[in-house]
Amino acid sequence: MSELINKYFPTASGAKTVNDHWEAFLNVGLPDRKSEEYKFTPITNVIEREMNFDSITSDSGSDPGVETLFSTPYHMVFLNGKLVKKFEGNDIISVAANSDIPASEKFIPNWKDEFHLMNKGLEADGVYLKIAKGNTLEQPVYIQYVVDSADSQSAAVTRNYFHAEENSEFQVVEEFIYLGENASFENTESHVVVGKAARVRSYKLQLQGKNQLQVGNTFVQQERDSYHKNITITMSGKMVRNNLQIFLNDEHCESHLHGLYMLNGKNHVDNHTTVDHRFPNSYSNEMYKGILTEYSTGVFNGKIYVRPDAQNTNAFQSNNNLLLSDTATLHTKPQLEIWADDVSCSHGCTSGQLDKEALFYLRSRGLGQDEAKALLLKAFVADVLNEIDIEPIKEKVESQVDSVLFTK
Amino acid sequence: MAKDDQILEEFTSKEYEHGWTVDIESDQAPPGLNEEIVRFISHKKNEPEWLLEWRLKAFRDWQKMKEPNWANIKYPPVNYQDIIYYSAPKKKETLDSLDQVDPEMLKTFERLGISLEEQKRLTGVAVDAVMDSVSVATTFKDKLGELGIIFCSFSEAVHEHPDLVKKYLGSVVPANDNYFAALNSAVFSDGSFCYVPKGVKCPMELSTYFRINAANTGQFERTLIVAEDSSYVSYLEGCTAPMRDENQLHAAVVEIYAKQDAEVKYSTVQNWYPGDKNGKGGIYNFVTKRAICAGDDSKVSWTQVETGSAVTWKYPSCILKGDRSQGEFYSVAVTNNYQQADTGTKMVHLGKDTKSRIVSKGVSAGKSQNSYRGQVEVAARATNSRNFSQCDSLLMGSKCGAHTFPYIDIKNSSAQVEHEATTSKIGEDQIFYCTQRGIDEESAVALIVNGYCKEVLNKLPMEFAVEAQKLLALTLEGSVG
Repeated sequence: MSELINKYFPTASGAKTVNDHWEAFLNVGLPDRKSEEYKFTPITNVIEREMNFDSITSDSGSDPGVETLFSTPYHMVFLNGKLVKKFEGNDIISVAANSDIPASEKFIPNWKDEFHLMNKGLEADGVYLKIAKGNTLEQPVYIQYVVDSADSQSAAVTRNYFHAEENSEFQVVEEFIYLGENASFENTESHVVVGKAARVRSYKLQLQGKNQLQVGNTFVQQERDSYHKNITITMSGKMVRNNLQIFLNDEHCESHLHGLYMLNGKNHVDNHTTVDHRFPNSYSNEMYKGILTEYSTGVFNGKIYVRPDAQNTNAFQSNNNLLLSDTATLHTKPQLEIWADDVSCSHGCTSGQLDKEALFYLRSRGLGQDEAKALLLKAFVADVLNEIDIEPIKEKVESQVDSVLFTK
Repeated sequence: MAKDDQILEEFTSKEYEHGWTVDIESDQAPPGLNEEIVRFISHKKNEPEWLLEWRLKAFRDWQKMKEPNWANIKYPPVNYQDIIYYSAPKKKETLDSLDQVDPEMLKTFERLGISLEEQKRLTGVAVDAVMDSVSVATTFKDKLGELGIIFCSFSEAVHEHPDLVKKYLGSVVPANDNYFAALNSAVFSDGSFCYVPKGVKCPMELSTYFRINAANTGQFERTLIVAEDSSYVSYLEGCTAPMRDENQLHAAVVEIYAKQDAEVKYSTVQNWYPGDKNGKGGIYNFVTKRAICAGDDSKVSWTQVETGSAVTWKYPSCILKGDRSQGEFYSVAVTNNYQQADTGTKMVHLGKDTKSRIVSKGVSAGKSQNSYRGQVEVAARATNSRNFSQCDSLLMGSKCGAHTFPYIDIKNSSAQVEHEATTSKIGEDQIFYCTQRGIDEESAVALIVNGYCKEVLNKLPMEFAVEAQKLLALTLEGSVG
């Protein structure tokens, strides 16, 4: 067992384990290639190949001061898994350490993901943010997770909790930033509780980096009449796995899941989503789009569960992909599991290339081949970008999309 | 809702119509499975040495394998040592005419509505009837013989056309392909063999009726169809089984080999005993079906109507190796009571400009679970390949489930792949529309479901379409969503 600990992480890099949970993780271990959930994302092999946890030192740093996309009073920065910048709470938002969650508010799901178990078994830095009942937080919470592997490899584990109380509203932006060329491994976890009639919008941005291996679990628990929108934008990563689990724990919930992955080089991104309709009269809408070029690999798995009692569920899911090179690979599995009869569920998924007629139309009007292509690709991703409600983020993502599209 | 419940109740309590057994003396092997049994079967069937070796190798591979558990089905573990692996109706002298067939057996077929004579005289279908693993009658053989088409039982083929069997056996489904295929390869009892020579269009639908009879007999069919260049054949398979309390295992293998320009159509109507309304008994149907479009411009089409079996585990698939080859899969799967079905297809695009089309319609009622599991794979060199998949599910009653597991793996930028799925119940507005026009609710449901399945039923050959519609009507009687 101790071998496993050294092999798979952290004691060497300074992280401490939470005994029972760490044992539980060790009993399961990391997923191998035979695992159905990690079939197309052999992250364990890559971790074993790329990472040398012994070389990681755990010295604490200070705020690296990376560029921010916008300014907000609610700005936090993690460096290599340590909280290096935080803000003071006020009447509307309270800030506490993640270990301070009252037992009554522990919404820790019984989830079997191996990396979730690993995260649970480790002492991780993080916060517990709570938006007070009936309030609206005008400016978004902005969390930057910086992993600096310029000098040596690095590893980070974080765990954050966000709780929107009844009838409150806020937005949270989580941006993952990787500095340096060495390999790094990050295991992050975010728990979002959307209280009764609360409204939460979450953004997950993975825009830069090169050699990072990242596994993130996001759990969203929605209560009655609540609204949640999740947007995941991934444009980099040696191997990135995003697990997003939405639990609709009462009636009349509304949930939106949108994602965009735009990959080049040998990037590998895997989005696994689960929407669990447990009660009647809820609505979920999922749309993921992907553009794969060069040697990249895109994986999508969307599960929709409709439990026996969840009558009158409306659940929609779509996953559209464009493969722009013969060396890119796509694995997609839109999965429906339905146990209730009075439902309306659909999913669709496509893989293809740009419409030749549309290209011809643009070219006949004087656009060059590359320009016409880029324009169509931009239109393809617009469906997702238009869902972004924070203007500076939208601009940033758009400009990054443009820089990929128009520099050929 | 009270009326709905009542109708549902009636529907769910409907007993299996073909549930009865006939006493025909069987020549059985002792239950259990070991090398001796494999040798016994091989010896009993007078098989050449190479086939025995092939079986033994499969058996040894099987011993090393584990029963797959990834499918969305649950069933008590099967004790493979409890099964009788060989059972044959007592050997008669070689049969020249139907008169020599055991009259009891003829009666069995008649009760199933597939009287050999009727078939022979009226429909022009050549029937290779399989009862308890041994072919008892083959009709129309002479007529097919004139065209050079070989259509006979598998054991006959082993003796009369050993070269062909040796060449193609296991070429599509290798003996160690999966757990159930390996089991079948080791102990297969009989089956059908069909060879269509170059340029020949088979003038009639070839049909085999399977029937599981003696108690505790696993049925391990093996079908091999080889279509030479520019040939055409349409093959029908259908089955019914008598009422039985213990679960019976059926692990069949079907292999289709299509060469250049060849077209093979394979249709199945499966109505084995699904168990009673409490989920007791019923057939376990673990089947490996695979076709290879080895030559350019070849085409294979699978059509299936699955209404029976307690547990179904079946994925008829196509390997599209030849350029411009085409694969099709049309399926209607209806489950009721405690039935479980995990079925679908696999389309592997290897050649250029290959096309595949998947249409799957699932209907679940009672407490059943119905899953579609499909894979579309496009290899890097399969340029301009095209796939369209559609899988719809219809739910009747609030205790059943419908599941969809489509895997899509693309490695080529010019591939165009589309998948869409919907799940819903029968619209109240649709039923209202019908009742308003004087059609009672029950007929309205039948009408709507028939329309829902039409796309698939239309693909069935005439001879089968009738039976399939009958089956659907029977299953749907009184089921209002």
